[in-house]
Amino acid sequence: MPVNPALAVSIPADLPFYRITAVSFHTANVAHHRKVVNGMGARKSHAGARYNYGGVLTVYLADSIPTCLAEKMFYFQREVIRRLDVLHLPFSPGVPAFSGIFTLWEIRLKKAIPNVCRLTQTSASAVGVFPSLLVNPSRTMSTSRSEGRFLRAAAIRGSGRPPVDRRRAERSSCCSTIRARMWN
Amino acid sequence: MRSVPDFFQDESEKALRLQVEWLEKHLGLGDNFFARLLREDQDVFSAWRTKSVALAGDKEAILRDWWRAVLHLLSFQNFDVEKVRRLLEQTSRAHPPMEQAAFSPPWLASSLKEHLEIHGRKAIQEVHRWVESFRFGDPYALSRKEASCLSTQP
Repeated sequence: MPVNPALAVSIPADLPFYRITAVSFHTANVAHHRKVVNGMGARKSHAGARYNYGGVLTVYLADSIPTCLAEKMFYFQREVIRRLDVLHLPFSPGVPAFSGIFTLWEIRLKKAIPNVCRLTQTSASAVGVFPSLLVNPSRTMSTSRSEGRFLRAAAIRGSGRPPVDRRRAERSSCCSTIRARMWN
Repeated sequence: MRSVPDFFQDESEKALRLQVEWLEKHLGLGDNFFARLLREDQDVFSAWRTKSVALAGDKEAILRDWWRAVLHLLSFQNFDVEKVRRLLEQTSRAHPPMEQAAFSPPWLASSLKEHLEIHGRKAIQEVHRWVESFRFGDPYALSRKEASCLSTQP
């Protein structure tokens, strides 16, 4: 995938870069550690990853530990909120853990690599990366709709959940969504 | 420092057998489950585990796909093996169709384990997509199509 020339830089060898992964990458055999930076996670991903479309070989590295941690915190908290959003549904995977154990990697390149896309706060918008909104109105609406549909059908079937006034249920759901997002 | 055994990341056939052994021991997935997942005779699969026969076609690739999905599920549940086990076995009651809802899992009418046994490799891909939907991409895209009353896209 071509890199926008205005954002392309060369990164020199032997500078420290950082990445956080699941602990499943942390094996005793160092031969497996190259998988941390082989880009195959992004390649095999259907949904794509942070800034790439699905199926595109991509490696992300942060140039400082605070950047690496901040980015991980953002995606970790977003995942927790998404899981809290579906707790009311019967197929919820359960209450998410509010903390996690990860592996922080320091990566040093053996040789310089040219034509790397450098994302900074000023350049991010040029490749379509924008800050997340606190509240997404359509998201709130879709949550309300899915919960309302479940509650209505449950009430009709008498499947254990008590009949609930639709408008009250939807209002309640909206409030919890907004609170969760402000907390984030 | 927390780490995992080497076979977690190894892609050799020997490691694949160790991965299956780990799944049987920790997640309660028996030879019967794997035989159904692979559309293979259970005796043949059991013999593969003891190295006396080879698996046909792309069945080892399916096993590797499933191992990768399990690593995603483990990460998804913060490496709490018991939670992953429950996720595999829990069955939700019959409920209204919610195909359009964000984060709907593909195994609405059965347990994840049964879904994998019935649908094989296709179900593994669905598990990958479901876990990824919490982490990457835009899981609300499908739901947003319903929201035609919105004049602008968020």
